[in-house]
Amino acid sequence: MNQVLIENLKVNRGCFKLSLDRIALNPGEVLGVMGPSGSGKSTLLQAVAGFVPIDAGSIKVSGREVSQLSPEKRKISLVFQRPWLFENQSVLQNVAFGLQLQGYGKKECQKISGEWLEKMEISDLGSRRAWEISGGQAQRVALARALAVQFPLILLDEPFSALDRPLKREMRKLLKSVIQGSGFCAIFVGHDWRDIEEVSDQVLILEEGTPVAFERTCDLKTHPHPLVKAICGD
Amino acid sequence: MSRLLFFPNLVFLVTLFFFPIAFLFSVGIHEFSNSIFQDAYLLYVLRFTYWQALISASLSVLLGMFFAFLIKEWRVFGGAVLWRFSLLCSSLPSIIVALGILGSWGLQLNVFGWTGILLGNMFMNVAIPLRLIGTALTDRERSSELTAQSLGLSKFGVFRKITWLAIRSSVFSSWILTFLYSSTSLFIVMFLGGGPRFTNLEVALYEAIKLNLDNSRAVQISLLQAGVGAVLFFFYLKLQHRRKIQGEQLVFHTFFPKRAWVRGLGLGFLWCLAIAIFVFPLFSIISEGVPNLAFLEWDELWVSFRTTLVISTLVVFTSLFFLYPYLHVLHQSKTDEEARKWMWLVGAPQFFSPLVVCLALSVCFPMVRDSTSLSYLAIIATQVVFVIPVMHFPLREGFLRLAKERDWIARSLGANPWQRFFFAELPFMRRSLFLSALMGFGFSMGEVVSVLLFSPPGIKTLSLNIFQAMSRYRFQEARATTLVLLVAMFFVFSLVGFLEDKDESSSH
Repeated sequence: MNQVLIENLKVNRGCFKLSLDRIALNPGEVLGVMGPSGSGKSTLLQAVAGFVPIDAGSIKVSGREVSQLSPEKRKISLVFQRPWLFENQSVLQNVAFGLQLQGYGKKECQKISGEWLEKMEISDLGSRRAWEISGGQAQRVALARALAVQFPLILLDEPFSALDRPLKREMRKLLKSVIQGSGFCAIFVGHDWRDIEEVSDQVLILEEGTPVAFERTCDLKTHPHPLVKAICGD
Repeated sequence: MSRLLFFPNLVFLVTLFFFPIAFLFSVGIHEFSNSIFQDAYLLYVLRFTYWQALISASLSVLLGMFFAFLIKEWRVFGGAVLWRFSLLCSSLPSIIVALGILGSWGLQLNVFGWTGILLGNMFMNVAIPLRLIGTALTDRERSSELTAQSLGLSKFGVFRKITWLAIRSSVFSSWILTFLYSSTSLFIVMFLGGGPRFTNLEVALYEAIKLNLDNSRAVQISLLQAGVGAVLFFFYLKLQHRRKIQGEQLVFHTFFPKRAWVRGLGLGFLWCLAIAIFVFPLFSIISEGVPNLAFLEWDELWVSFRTTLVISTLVVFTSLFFLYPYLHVLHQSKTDEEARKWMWLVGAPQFFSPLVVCLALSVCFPMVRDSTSLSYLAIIATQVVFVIPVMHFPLREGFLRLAKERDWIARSLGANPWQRFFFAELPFMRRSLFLSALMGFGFSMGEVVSVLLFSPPGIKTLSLNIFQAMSRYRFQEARATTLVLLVAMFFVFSLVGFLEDKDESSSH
């Protein structure tokens, strides 16, 4: 059974229309989404997360139909370009935030959060306030916060675009290993082909709300789509 | 469910502002007779009111625009201080301003009449165009100006074709506000007009309510005032658009003069005008207040001070109680249009003079004058109506800066509305909340009209003390009390200025 199944999705936002026939993701798989600005990448994420109402279609996560549920009940976590941490809380509290809301006890929250900080290689920052850490560290905390709740699907909206190149490389490796090891699914929106190539198993290319290509990453690598060439250069 | 939070403020404003104003309109239209237009004195007053408002508003906007350019574009020395200082000046009670102008310019030239009224109105109102136009200048998109200049357009051409388009709605809306405040200034005209030749509708309204006890005439005059206020409000709304908070801005000042002597000239002009209009009157309050402190009865002053603090605190908390949930719900609305549809409600009270609002309330609910507790309630309710338009600005700015992504993250992790409020909203709104509370507190401290009309005998506030001392020609006592109120307001508005600066630096 697919962990994530999106079928016949239709979203109308004024004159913009997004439509997708079928997307299926198995546990541990990552879908990369590319396309020019205004092609509907972020709309797709917002629709899946429940912040944009859909007009038709179904979204199934772990066999559960979530398209009619409110965002807080869908069990889909989010990471944006900026980390958007809760700045009045410590790094550890930020990671534990979702766990507490999911009903974990205090000790359990601390233990799981500590483990995720370790996986993200920032275990020494636990007691720091969110505004005391650097941008790259904050993005790791945001990732840890989204992953710690162990939701079956995680949505990543250009999470590395504000980072410098060496940090990006490091984060790509980290994300791929964490997702493969944990069995979550992810939808990764990005502009940089290197991010998509390294992180994703399948790639969806959107143009004006319509998919123009949906292929395995290795296939797309050997026969690059013209739109990918146009976005990333040769 | 959280949409219900929208209703307390709606019910409050409808019950204590819109309904009384509508009631006043209905009574006024019923009692309105053509005799009011055959009254030669009233016709003269009507002409004078809007003529002086026209001149005062035009002068204030010209001056405010000049100041805004010098402060925001030329970055003249001391501009930041003047920017902060202007907020204090516009929030001072007009009675203090009148006393300051009398004390400063009254000795050098005969200020009574046009001179005093124009000086007083400019002192009170220059901050409006300065701040509105200054903010529009800061927030405008500068890269198009740079592009136009690189293509060979002159500075004047850049101003005419690009900058003016970006700031013109702020110029016109500040003119409307300044015209309105100048036409409804009570104490400036009462104390600096110097006689019946220089009387405006607001003074005529005050005379009808308080001196002649002629309610019918008062209602008719207030109908005229409210009618003009409603028309101005309509035009003001037409000029409004939801401001975008710009991200990182290009640090580029199109109109920064290259020649040092031009900058020096601008600096000289700015400070000469600022000293003449703002500093000199305030300095006179201090210099004449200090020697007169000996005339104060400190026990009585302490009681008045305490009453002022209690009233202002209650006003601020009540206003926040109604206003914050209202703006929170508007912030959550799906589209900007949906939010704008309801935003005008909180701005409407500023288009009606305090006297008209108080009269409307007392005509609609005559029982407010019957008991002490109801009088207190009336004072607090009317002051809440007055400060809500002031307090909503910093809160709205705070909400505009609030990132929806943080709320989405909290929501996707399973947070309920309260948890989202405490973790993803309140920590980031704290400064705006505090700023809004301080501004409301400062305005409420200086409010005279509601206390004058509703306060039960024996109850005094600082601003009422000043008014009564001036009415009885006890200028020494008035000056000393003014100094105390000025110091208190200076403290409050210094904090506002400090927070505004922090807000600006954190947003860019």
